[in-house]
Amino acid sequence: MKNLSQKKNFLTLTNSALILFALLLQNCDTPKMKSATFIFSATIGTEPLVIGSKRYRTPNNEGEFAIENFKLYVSNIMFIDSSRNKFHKEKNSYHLVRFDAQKNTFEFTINSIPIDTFDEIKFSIGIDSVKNKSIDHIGDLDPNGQMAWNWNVGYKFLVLEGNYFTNEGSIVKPLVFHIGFSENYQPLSYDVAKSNLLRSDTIHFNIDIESMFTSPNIINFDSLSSITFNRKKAKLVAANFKEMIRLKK
Amino acid sequence: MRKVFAVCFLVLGSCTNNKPDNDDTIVTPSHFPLKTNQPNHNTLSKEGIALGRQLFFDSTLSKNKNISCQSCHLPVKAFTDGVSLSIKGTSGKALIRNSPTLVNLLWSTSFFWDGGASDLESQAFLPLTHPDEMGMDLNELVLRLNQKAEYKNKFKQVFDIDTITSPYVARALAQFQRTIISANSRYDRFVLKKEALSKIEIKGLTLFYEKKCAHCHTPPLFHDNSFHNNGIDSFFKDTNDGSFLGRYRISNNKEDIGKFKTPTLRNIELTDPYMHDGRFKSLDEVLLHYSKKIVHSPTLDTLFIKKKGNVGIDLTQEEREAILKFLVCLTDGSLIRHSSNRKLE
Repeated sequence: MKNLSQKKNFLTLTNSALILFALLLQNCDTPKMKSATFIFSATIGTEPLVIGSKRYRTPNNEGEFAIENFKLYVSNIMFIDSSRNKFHKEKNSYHLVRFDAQKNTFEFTINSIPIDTFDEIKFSIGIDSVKNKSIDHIGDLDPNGQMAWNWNVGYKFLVLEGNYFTNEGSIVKPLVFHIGFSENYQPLSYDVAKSNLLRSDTIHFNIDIESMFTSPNIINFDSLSSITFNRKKAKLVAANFKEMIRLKK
Repeated sequence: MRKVFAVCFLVLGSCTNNKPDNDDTIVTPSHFPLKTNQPNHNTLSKEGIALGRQLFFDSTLSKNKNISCQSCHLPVKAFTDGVSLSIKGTSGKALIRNSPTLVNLLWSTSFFWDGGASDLESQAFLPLTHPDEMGMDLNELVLRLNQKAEYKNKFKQVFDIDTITSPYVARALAQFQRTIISANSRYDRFVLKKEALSKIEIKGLTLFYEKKCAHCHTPPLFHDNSFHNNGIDSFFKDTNDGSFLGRYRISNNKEDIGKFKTPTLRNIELTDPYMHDGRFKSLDEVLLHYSKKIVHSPTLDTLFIKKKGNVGIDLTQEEREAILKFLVCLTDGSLIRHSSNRKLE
């Protein structure tokens, strides 16, 4: 009886130790889920974007312009820890970054990030060619968002609409820039100081709309104030996306 | 051992398969290709198909509430409309393309005469929103549907959503369209050895292969999911955003100028008029075109180029008549009766 009782105690202790060990192992192997908030601020040079009637100096000629609509897709966000060769890709990563009259910032939060640290962030402007083959999508890709172009070329990646005012008699030309087509999908990459993702983190980016028209391709509103469904012209503006979005330090 | 293995596999298969079985929603014909074209995120369900059918016949999906999908895709006409270029749309302007049949889309890899849409779901947005078709604003569309409790309940049941959005409208429509299957013509019953064809019909079938009609209109679908320039025009004007340039508008490949999608010949007796712009009123005109009226252009399909640079398919009048007799065998009476008898909600 005594032996049986001793055996039972031993088994109970062993089981408890095993359970404890398993729990510890689980804690070590399973990373705590983190979150990161992306905040995009839109400016024209150093001036904050104000949707509506506020006028800004045109970057490449004499005149002013106002913006009534500005939206773009940020997609396929990835966090990379290059030192440990780890990365996390956000699933269904398609965010319609948009601004309204009330504020010049837009933010979204990515949850359930399983890596602890990262030193590089990647994302793209536009929709990748696989997803862009169809407009049957929900969420930020819902066609009701007015960004679905058509069933063949997919989505507009960036929309900027407004008006251009010349100095000579304030003649108004509409500004209509609808930039899409799969070949204009622009991957971007940002080195960040090694950040430990704690419970949550915030990453700021600045979208300088002026850069969209200046670097490396000069877009002069006198000669080009509208791009709607023109692949060649869209490419000129899309090439400027790289300089348009910068990490705010 | 093999039998035991097979049994184990079946048991394992049934144990691990937790998805609802939707295979009883359609029965694909045994003599049709196994590979179908439907997205994983829009699997068929009985309720989804019924919802799609209801939407297909509902004129509230159009701006003026006066036309529905079936206005240009009539079941009795094998889902075409019997006119060259419809003027039924919201604007009253004539379309620039003939309304194609909607049968057997489960096996189609592209949609529209230039293949501009790669899935049925995306395709729906053109007729829904084009001002010359249903002219609907998508925000107005979802507002209307969300105001109807019956639709809200049905969309909830099918897609588990509380608010109807336009992609789900397109998905429901696609589910219904994928069930429009035509595979019970006299030709099909002949292939399945259930019915005989007459001598002249057999002759027409033989000629269909000999004269290479089957090269593009390949049985059992009677199309090849591809694009060809069949010599109806020698010049293709670059207007209307390239709509008259055919496949080139989509591919940007100059070799595709003037090429349009091969239509199916199933139910061809019912789907007049013919070609992408409905220019030929009768099948006789079509065959006359192929035998005597093909015109040259740089992208003319080589199938039509004979020796010494001549073009066309050699067809005597007798041969044309035999082929016509065969083509009538592709009419699927059961599709028409079945579709037309459906109660409209």
